[in-house]
Amino acid sequence: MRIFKYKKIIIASFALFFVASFVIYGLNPKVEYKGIDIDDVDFYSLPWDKEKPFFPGELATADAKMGNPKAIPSSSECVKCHKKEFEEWVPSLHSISGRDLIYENSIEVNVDLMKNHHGKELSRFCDSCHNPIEVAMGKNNPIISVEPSDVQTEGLACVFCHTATHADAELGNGAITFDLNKAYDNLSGSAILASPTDHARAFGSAKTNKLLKSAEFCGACHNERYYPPVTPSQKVLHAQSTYDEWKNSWYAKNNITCQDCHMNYEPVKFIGDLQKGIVEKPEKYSHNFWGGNHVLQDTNLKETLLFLRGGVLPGVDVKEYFRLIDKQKPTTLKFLKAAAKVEIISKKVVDKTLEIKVKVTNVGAGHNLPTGVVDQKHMWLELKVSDDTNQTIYNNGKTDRDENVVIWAERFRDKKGKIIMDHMTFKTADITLTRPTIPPRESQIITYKVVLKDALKVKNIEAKLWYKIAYEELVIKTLHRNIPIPKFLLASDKEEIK
Amino acid sequence: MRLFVPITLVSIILLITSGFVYYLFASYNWGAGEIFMHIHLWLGLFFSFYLIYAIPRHIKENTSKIKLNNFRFVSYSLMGFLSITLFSGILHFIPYLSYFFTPIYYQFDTYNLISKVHLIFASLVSIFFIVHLSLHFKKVKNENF
Repeated sequence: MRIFKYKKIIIASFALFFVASFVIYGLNPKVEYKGIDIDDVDFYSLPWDKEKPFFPGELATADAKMGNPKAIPSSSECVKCHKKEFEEWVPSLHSISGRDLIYENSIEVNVDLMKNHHGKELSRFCDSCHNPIEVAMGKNNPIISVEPSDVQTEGLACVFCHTATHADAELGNGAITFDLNKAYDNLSGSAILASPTDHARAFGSAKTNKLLKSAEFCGACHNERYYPPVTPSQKVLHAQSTYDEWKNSWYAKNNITCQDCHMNYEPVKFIGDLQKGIVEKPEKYSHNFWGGNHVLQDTNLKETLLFLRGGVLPGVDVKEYFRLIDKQKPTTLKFLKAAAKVEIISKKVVDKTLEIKVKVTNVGAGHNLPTGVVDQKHMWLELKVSDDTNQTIYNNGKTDRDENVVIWAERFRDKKGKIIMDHMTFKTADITLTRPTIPPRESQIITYKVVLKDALKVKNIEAKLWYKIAYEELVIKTLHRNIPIPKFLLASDKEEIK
Repeated sequence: MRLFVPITLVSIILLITSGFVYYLFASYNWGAGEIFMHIHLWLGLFFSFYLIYAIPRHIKENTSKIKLNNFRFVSYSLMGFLSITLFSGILHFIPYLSYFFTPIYYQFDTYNLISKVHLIFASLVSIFFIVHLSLHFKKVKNENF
């Protein structure tokens, strides 16, 4: 009798479960993120390839549709649980890649330059890397019909990288495909807190994380080519080749990826260890994205910094913003200094001429020095010779404008061959190098010949390798202000002659 | 203790089914899956409290009746596995509830460990519970004949 009663309870429990399941699934049909058809984005202009809505950028969405502004979460949603990652990302350049004022105004100026030749549509090229969510939503258009949302102001927001499904570094120019449907698991905050593993499962993180850990993922943006209609030239111009530089280096051969240095919790120690031959890949990666822009982390600039960074990001207040930037700044400075080494390797006097050889070595970077947008980011060598009374006998490279200065930079040139110093991409018809940039673990030797009146008086020789994030012309063009850009000492060497 | 068997049977069946449905099928429809999670968590909490009250009595009433060593082994193992499963479940429940007050959460690796422990021991509970019931039915059957 009792067994029969138990059986009834067991059957009733299963029946209850099945009925409940049908009710739950019946009342909760699958809610999916729905991208927007291109035709539904009012006035969306497609002057070139109709199949590639973000051309000339190489960005793509997995569903081949436009992003839905109502459905894509801001990074300030993620901070509720991913506070640490958010706080690491906030001071980085990735968080402000779209709102950085100089960048934003540079886009305006470039667009204006081509206002009668689809300038606004051309800006999809730049924003495919700098502000991909905005591009995906269709905001880079002569007539904007996309409603604003926080995520559009967050540059490389969490959802962009963490929904990526494919990246093509060889193609570059933002060749990343992202699947926004993944950012739409519909799990409530409490459910995520109960089991974040499922949130990661919904995002497909096992697959995505593999892609995010690859250098190819970074290379999709850190390889930049100018081709028509971006440039008036018919040839492909290699504007930025950071990924290619890495791929041909010792680092790639030893599987040291971009993330190993730029997303390392202790990047300077890691670089130091590599120089000693110790290769220990980090177990965990940070979201600091250590990089070469020390100016946009210079909190001494106070309100100006806030102005340059395009204001405060959603989800953080001003005080907190400065605290987070301040926290990241020292490592950024040390990170930059870990890249290069300068040595005065020889000095001799021949016929009243002092011949000095200075060796500049790329000791710590997995790409060339300098790299990136090298028409702006540049480095140069200063050599100073002084006598026993501390009077300067010779000084070359005090500024990056000195005559015959040894400088590593790209020169953008217009159709007439005139140098463009203010990053006017859309009129760049050719790119040349002042001198070859320095590949990883390689050196360049620069020979100086200093004509002396009295060789015996030479007391000190000092070589300094300076770095500057941009030329003043860019600031003048974009901010209409003549603000000197601080130079940064990457490395130096000094010799005293006894 | 009149309702111990029905309460325990219904609770364990609903907990196991809702848990496994969530684990296996939630990704097909996260909205519906989440409802299973809510049911699973709250039911698990109430069942844990109920067991704290009921298990000592259940043991007291039945230990003397168990003559088979196998049954004793299975029963005590089940109790151990159930305790670990419920405890790891409560560890999931704490951050879940905290969301409505001051959110607290563990390291991702800790979550992974808790989830794995919960899943493994829930599977063992399922098996041992069936064995426990079978042995019980066998015992009752033997007593009746």
